[in-house]
Amino acid sequence: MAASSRGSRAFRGIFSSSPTICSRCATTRFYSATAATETKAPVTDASPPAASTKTPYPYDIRSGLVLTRPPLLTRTLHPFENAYFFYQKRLEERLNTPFITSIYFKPDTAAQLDWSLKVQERGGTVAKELGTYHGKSSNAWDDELKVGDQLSSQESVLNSLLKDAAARVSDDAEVIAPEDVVPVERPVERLSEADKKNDVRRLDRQMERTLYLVVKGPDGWGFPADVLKDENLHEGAKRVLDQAAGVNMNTWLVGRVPVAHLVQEPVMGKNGEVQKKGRKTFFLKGRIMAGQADLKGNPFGYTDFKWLTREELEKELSPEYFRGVRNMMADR
Amino acid sequence: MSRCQAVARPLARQLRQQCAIRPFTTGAARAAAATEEVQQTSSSAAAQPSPLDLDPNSVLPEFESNLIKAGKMPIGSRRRRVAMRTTANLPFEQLPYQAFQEARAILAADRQEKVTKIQEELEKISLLEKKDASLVKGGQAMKDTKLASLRRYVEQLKIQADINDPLVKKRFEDGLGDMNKPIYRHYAERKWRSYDYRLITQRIKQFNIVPDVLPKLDPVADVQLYFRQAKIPPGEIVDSLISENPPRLRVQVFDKGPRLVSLVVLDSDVPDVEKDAFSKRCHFLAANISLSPSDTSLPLSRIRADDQLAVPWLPPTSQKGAPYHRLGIYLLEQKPDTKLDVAKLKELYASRDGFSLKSFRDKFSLTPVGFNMFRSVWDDNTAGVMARHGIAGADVEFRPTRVHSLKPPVKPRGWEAKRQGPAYRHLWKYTKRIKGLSNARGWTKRR
Repeated sequence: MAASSRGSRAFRGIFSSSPTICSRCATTRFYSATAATETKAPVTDASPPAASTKTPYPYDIRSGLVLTRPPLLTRTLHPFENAYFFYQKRLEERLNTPFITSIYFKPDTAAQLDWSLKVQERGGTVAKELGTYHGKSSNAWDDELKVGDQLSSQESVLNSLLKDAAARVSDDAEVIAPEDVVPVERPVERLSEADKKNDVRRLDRQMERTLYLVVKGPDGWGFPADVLKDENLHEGAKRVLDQAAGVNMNTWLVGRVPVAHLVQEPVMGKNGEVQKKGRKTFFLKGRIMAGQADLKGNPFGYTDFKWLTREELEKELSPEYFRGVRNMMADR
Repeated sequence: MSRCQAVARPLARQLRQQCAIRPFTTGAARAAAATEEVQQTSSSAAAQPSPLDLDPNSVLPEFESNLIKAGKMPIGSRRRRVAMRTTANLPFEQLPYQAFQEARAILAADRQEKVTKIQEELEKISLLEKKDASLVKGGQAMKDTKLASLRRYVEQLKIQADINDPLVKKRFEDGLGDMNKPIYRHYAERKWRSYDYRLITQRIKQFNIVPDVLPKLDPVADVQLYFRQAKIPPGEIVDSLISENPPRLRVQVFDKGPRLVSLVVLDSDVPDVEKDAFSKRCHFLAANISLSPSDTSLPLSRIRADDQLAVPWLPPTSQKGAPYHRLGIYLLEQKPDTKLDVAKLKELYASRDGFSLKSFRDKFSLTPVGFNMFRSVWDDNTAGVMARHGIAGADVEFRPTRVHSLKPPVKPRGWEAKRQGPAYRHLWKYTKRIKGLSNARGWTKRR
């Protein structure tokens, strides 16, 4: 292309492009900006020439928040996993180098005395939870547990670890009498009080699962959501949560990108006018760190709330609602 | 000693000593008898071999040499053999180990899940079959597509249901698999694809079967070739005396149900002297042969029926000096439930020469599914074979015609060659009569 024609092209570009928007602003848009522009659309439509030709946008844009409580505990293991890990541990006993006590314990110390006492009670086995098993003896091949043996269960592993943790020798190297041994405190049970009472409002229920906050409004159970008022999605979600469930919660909005959306179609009249507006609801994801929901004085008419797992949500939510949000929920 | 052996050694030693207290040998009477015997052997001197020591599956290390002298090689590792002595009468799936049984429970649950899925899909299929095509979105074509994809999915599920069963795998590896069941066909196909299929496709490529014989050939069935009980690897040169009698084929197809196939044995390298080219010759042609996954043997000599054999076996022969002949064995599947008219085939292909497999395929709408090949060259027995079967041409010997170079001869080069002329007369004593280059009559060196 000749230099002269290139110049004309450059001029054409300058004149044709809109002077108010630079090219970067025209192409790059944030997710959260989309809703804002859409809500503005009816406002611009209100100008006289447009109103005569275009119908108003027949949807309400709503922003909602899926507030989750992540699992507090690791999951309970399957019996196969228990048996498999137990087998692996015994195999490890067979294959690794033998435990040399003198490396880890100085002679004639309280710790050494304590150790030898406990090992003696275990029949000379170094590992705490493997039963009487000697990885270096001629019987070591007989390492597999038979069906029905409770030795591999988490309960028995926990018991043996707790038993080992209790101090048997005092600081001044005197053996504590069996009746004076202070047992180590057991960790809290996996099933909490709330689980036993089936109190769905407490946050310490179902500690192995993710919980989701649902509220009961005029349309039945659902996640808290409201129509956007000249704000971005994440601002709307924050406002909805504050207004609906109070400020007495330490929450964190995971991102500004919606994780799920629901569409409710509008009801149209015969000649195309909107009788009832539809709804487009975008859900953002949040996490609760502390606090509890409090619905007192909320402007949305929410009367009740629950912390539910995924399976419980499936029963509680309407099928269309659940189908819209199920894919953003974790398995556990 | 390797780590694995180090682990296994105490086990082997222990098993040998403590057979009597192994908890899972109780139950069967045979087990009790066996342990008694074992106890006896261990208590008495080790010199007396028990009946278990005569079995290659359970022989102890000290009696191995006796067995080997008797011509039987011990089977498996020593550790395995010791284990076999004690658990031989307990079924594998009942070994009472916790991790093993828990794993089996998981596999069984997975299988149950697959089986329920199969039932669901079968119900879907029967519902769709009853449904009128006009009610299905997309009409009859869409209905057929949906049915086909559902059936394919069911087949997949059937394989998935059994693929984790170690007993099924063992039965397949022992050669006891029932080829009417999809899982065994799946295993067989996987095995074939892992080596034999690759070998056959390599032969197709390197011997230019594509495009010399057919424009496209991708085998989907396993065809093995046997001459006189000996398996012939694809592409091997077979002695003409051996290939005088028709071979036996072992054909394994991997999709279910019976089907009819045609079989062609084609020599694609017959020298044509007049045209100075090569042509093709049909050595065997049969049609309407029934094949199914479970019956695999296909001896060509047994195909004699009037509605099957079109062109009988002609022993492959070659002529002296001619390049090797590629004898391809082509298995072509016929359309479902259509028989070929063998009388017409006989009439068409009675003169074997100039047979074109491509036109045969197109004329009768066949699909090539299997391929194998061997080669034939002139050897000591060929003349005899040709005489016995009245094939002419044993007295002809082909000789390669000398093709001369079209380049002009190169003149002698070098320091001496440059100085041969009279201008260099004073150097002649150096440039004439050089040993290996020239003599009194002139330049002798060629090139």
